[in-house]
Amino acid sequence: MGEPEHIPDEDHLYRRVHPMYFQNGNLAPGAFNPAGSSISVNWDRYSTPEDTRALSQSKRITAKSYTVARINTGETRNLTDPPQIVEHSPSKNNPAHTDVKGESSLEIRIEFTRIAEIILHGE
Amino acid sequence: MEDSIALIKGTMGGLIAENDTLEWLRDDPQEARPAQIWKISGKSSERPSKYRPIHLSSFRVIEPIVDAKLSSIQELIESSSELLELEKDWDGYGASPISKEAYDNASGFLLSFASWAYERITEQIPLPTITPGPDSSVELYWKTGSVDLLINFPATNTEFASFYGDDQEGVMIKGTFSVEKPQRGVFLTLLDQ
Repeated sequence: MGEPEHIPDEDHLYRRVHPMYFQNGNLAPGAFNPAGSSISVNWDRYSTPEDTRALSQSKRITAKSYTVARINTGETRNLTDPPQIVEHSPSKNNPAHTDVKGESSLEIRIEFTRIAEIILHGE
Repeated sequence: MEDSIALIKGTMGGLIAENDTLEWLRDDPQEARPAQIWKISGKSSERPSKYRPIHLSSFRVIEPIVDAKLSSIQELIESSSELLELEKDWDGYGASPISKEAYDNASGFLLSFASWAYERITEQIPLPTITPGPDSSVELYWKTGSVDLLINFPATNTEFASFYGDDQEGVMIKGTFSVEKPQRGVFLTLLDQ
């Protein structure tokens, strides 16, 4: 497991999105629901959209059913109400793993949908 | 039960007949939280098992056209009931199953809001998405043009819901409301821009 590194503002973060949260071409704020105190994403230096999708552990839907969204690190750090911290947190199986930490208010999850770009559509 | 309201499902006028099917929408025409859709049959106060008692003789009937205009809302709610079957970690991120009370509050509010709005603008409100929120909550989300409106119905402290909405041009609404007495005008104003 590698050491955490600083993620530059110009880099991007991938987020796997359950089909429930991508309907009619729109991302729902639930795509950025936190798990515990953070949102799990993958740093694009060590991952690809396909890798991110393949990490799905779901036994109910296939990995290819997931859409993958991309958010820019700098834009994430610019979200200030409430502020969000981008923290690389590599694990043994996923050197790209990163946490976005911060209060998960309704408005911040809407803001995430606005800065997100769909990079890989679910099948 | 003098003020109870039912919408007739399908085409029907005049008196409620023995085997007509009604959809129970709400307990009170003013502010009360509506129930789920309850399909009932007959004109007595008896009901089929699993449905709650209802006194049809006390019903006032809204024009059937209202029912037709709300049909897509009703279909959305009916199809969203699959959310109640989600198991732990259904999303691959460790999500919890959603709360039935939160779901009932969300779907009840949506039906009430749609009916209330229709009476004022004679149009159906835009369809939201109904999705799980954090911590077993349920959310209604509208995205129409530049407007986003998100209402969260929590699994705990269920008497209140929280909301946030804006049009990205300076209009912003944010706060909480009582599920029993929602203030719907502010949502309609934002969505009706």
